[in-house]
Amino acid sequence: MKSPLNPPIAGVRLSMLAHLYWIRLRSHVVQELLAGSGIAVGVALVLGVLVANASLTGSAGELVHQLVGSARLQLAARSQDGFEERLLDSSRRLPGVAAAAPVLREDIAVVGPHGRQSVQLLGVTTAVVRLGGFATRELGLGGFRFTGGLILPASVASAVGAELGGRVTVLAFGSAHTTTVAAVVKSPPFGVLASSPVAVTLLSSAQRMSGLPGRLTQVLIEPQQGADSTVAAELRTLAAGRVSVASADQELSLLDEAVKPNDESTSLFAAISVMVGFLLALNAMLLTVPERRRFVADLRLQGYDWRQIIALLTFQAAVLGVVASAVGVVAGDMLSHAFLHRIPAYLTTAFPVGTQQTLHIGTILIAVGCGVLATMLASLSPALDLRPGRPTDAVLRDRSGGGEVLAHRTPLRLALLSTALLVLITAAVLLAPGLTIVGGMALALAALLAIPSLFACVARALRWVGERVPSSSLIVVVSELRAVTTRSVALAGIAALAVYGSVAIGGARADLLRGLDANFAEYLDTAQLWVTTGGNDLTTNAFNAEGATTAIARASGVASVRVYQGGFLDVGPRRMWIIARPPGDASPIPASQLLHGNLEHATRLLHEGGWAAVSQGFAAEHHLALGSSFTLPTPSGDARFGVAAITTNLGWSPGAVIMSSLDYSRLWQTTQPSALEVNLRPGISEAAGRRAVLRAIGRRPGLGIQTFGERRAQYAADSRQGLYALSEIATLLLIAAALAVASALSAAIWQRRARLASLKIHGYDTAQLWRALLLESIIVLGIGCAVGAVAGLYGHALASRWLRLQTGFPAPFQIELGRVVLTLALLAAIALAVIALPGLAAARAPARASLQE
Amino acid sequence: MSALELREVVKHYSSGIETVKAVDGISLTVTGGEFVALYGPSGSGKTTLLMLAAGLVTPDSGSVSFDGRVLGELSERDSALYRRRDVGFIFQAFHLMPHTSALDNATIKLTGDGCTLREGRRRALPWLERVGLGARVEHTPEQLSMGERQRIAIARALANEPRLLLADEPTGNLDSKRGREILELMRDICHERGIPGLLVTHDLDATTLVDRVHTLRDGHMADGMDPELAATSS
Amino acid sequence: MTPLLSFLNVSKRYPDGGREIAVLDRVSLDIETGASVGIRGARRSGKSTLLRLAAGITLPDSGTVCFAGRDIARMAGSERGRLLRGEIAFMCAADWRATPGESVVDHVATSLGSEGLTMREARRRAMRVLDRVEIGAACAGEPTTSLSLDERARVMLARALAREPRLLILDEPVLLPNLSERDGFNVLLRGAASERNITLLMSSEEMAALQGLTVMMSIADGELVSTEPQGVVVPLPGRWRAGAERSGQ
Repeated sequence: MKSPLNPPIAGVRLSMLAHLYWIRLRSHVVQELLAGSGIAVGVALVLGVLVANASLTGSAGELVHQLVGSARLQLAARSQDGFEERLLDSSRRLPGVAAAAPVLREDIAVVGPHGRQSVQLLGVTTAVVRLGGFATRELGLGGFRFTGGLILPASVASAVGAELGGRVTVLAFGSAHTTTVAAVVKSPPFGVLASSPVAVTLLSSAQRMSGLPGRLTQVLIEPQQGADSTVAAELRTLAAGRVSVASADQELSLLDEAVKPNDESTSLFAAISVMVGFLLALNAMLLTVPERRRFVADLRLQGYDWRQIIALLTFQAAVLGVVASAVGVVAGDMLSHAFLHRIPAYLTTAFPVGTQQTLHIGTILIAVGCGVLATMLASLSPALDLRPGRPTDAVLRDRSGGGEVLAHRTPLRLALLSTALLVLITAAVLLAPGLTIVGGMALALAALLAIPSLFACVARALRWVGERVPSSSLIVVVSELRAVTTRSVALAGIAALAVYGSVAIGGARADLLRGLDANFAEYLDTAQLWVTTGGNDLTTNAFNAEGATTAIARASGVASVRVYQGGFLDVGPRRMWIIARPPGDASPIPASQLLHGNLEHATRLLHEGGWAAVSQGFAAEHHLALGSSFTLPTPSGDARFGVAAITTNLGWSPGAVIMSSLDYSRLWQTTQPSALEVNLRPGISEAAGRRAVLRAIGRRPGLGIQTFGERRAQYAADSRQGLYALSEIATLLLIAAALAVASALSAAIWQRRARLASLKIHGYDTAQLWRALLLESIIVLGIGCAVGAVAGLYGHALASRWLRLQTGFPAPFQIELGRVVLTLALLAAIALAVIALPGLAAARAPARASLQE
Repeated sequence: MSALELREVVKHYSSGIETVKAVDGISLTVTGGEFVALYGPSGSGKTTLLMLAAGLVTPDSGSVSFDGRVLGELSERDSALYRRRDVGFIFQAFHLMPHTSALDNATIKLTGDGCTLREGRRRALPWLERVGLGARVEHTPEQLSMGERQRIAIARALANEPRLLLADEPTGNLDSKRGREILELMRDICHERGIPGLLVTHDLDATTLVDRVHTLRDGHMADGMDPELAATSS
Repeated sequence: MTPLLSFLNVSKRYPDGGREIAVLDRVSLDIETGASVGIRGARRSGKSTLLRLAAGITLPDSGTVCFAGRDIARMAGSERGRLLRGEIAFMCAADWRATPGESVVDHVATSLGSEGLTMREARRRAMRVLDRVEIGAACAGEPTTSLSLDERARVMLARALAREPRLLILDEPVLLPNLSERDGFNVLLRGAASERNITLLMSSEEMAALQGLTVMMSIADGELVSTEPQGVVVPLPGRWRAGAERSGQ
């Protein structure tokens, strides 16, 4: 009877394999669930981190494609003020241009009944429909029938409490405009648009609201087939060096550059999570090994040959691995939605990054692959019994049980290997800081390799103590530790990896926050009051001052008002942060961020004009040293600057340029401020000063006044929010690891009940046994935690160094022992709380368990 | 001289629906210097009897006493103390600590009773010598034969100079030659030290080496000898 | 005629702690088709090792074990596996392993999976053979954990018979305290063996369990000696041949 659905695998029917697994499942449901949940947790961790890693650029990428459609080239303005609309007509007339669509993009805020949200305003015309992007067909608007008002994504609408047909206020260019909500875009069928921080309106409305009549920031161009390079050349002539010509999706490469440090640091975390997840799954499976070995031996005595056994083991591992991994994928997806979906606020100031998560099939495959691989590897260990020369029923005659014991010399060899690896990592990272991420992964491996020898050392030390101090539990513990099994190493390894990850990443995060706080404090220290458009921005939104400057200057208590300018400028792959400081600013360069150059001299050069301070990453990319010169593509053409100083990236990963506002207003051809810096007369309180300034500028809802302290707090909150996901993952990793260690340790204790029961007959009471089990658990955990903490501190130092050298972020290294201790305490507390109960149950095992019958 | 005394002991277990009469009215006295075997097939109540003697279970009726002290009346702490100080116990599965030297294994009861490891070793060493392992005290169970492992277990049971020796199928994992040696050793020790020894076994050979044999069947002391037993001992 | 099973100078040593002990020392014997051989030996006397060598579960350190003229040690692993699923059946009461929740019929049926049967086919065959060992249909549906010692022995026998082996090896097949149950099992075993012309090789600690077998041997200190049914031990001269008892045929 042949059935295609029930083929024989190595001579065993598929249905028979399934039945054998069914039997196992029914009889060892708890064991299998434990293994399955271990695998699932591991996969969830891996997936959560991978999704968090990929979702930043993923959603932005989709949005860009929705917007640009079939356009392949663009004219892009070099400032917020854009360029004249006539460039659109000229470009349309160019030979080889199939279609061209004008866009005006401005950073604005939408205020509704429930709150305010910073978004990017997209002013478009019906021309954009021709490009086929923008999901216009789904909108059913064919020709943008709506005559005004805003199209809001559902996420923005719900955040500000706006409803279809309701009225919202748009704050743009320092003024307020009221408009109606013409449409609310929901996720299906609009996908990522529905959750992006944007608002869409007609070009003319956008121009009116931004105070930029007749101006555009972008022209999207679709060249005819094969005409790309000629069109690009023509466009460059047209732009005359004042407008940039770029590929239509250039935004993506800019964003990639901006999130690169974030990507790289999360990839380290992802690697650690993968390792922890793998060990979790491995450990969970190892618990089922003794039982599986007996099952295999029984089947072999019934005539199953080795190929059939391999088929059986693989089938079971595949089923368990796939099912558990699928659960893990769902859990990981939920995990990333619940904890990791927040987009760093700092990024949204420069890019319309949405919260939509994109779960790519590749991500899922990696996560599931990890889970299945770990399951397979661990479940194939019963196959070791298939080695030729071993009796078929070896396991039935083998009384040792409880995991493979490492050979006597192995711990020493592994320790040597670990030391060698450590030396290699140190040398590699010192010579090439770019290798830090790989070094971080190798460091985790080195930590794991060090564990077996520590077990041996601790056992020896405890024995020494036991010789001198009377203790009933020490000798029991020593004997358990002396047999270094793969399982106990894997257990301690989970703890070590979790602690390593938390300490290293947490430490680097703390360093980074400290560096950013210091940086922004100095950056803002130039003024007591800041008048800005008030968004979560890097002071990059210009506004129409409309005489506010002189009014404030006349206000009582005000000593001085200075016009701060600046914005973003796309230079090559970098969206640079331009800081243009007015001559009156005492310290335009934050002193703590200066890497090369003399502060006073550099400040003097800046005020002289034609000089700028640039961040290290940019300087390195263009091989700039102090005194050398570089060009910036400004709205008035390429401008040359001398390098007055080299700084950190000032907290903006693509980099920053500090120049004099005199240079800026000349080159950018604008006098509009991005901020007004106000200093008060001596003796005037900030509160009084703020009231005076408020009176002076009158009712300007588009403008906000913040004291130095308030603005600093806002920056601090933004930097913390941006790094939030990192600390969340670290905590989750710790908790997952603690639970895994606890459950595996409990199961291991449970398997030793007979020996524990025999101690009872020797007169040990329950309390003595329980103490011994707890002590043993503490030691296993302790070894893992200690190794993890030491490796973590070293990893922290490497990571901070990497942040400084490789990403240019300010991150002064500092050890916070308190946080390390807290990490360890959290892990230990969870694990011990969980172990205590099964430990007690095992300690209470009836003495009968040690007897025959 | 110390003696173990069981009087009309009854112990029933209920397993779900039916009640198992594990021990059903057994009286037995083992006096000092006497090495007694209880022979019976599996399920005859041997293990329960041993648990009763070790004070690990209390009888439903009747009494188990050692040295005049009724075990059922001891507090939990005193009961543990009784096992720690007065009882030496030998298992079929040895229950030695893996990867731990013979000497350290033999100290387990002493350290459990508050000795340092150093003190425990000093006291356990003569016992390992007595059981013939003087030259292999630093070997771990894995490096020793089954017979030697059981010798460690005997040294462990004797290290704190117990006044009662209990053994659960001590030769179950040994071949007949080594099994004999072990039993002779135990018998000699009981005689030397004048302590009572009680052994349960379903090994007929074992019963030829003891001072007295009782046969257990279904919780009762069988009257007369088992036919098989009679055949072998004749 | 080639003997069904033959041992020639077979030795087997096991590590015992740091040393090795010789469990079997140059043992030779021939067993012909249809014979029924009993081996009596004390615990750890080497009888289990002898039987496991005969079944190809473990391989000798020296000497050869041949089944139907083929050297078992020279077979490929999968071929040895095939031997155990077809021509040789092995059962040992001490290895009884009841997966909780598994029914008796499935317990027998899964052992047939290596032959490529579907579960349904395997169950059908299992029911037939359970019937032969007098395990009724009602009991066949019960979980394996609810079996008595006697029933366990018969279920294990059913597993062994289900593959219609030529040689049935039983290592201490019954751990029964009750003599009449033990006799019941023996009657069943011998009946099944003679109706299918199965050669038997069986070991026990106790003489009583081996009563009725045509050839008796005894094993002690790694050496095989012959034992007359009356219990008189005689040294085995050279190679021992155990022929089938032809008188009954």
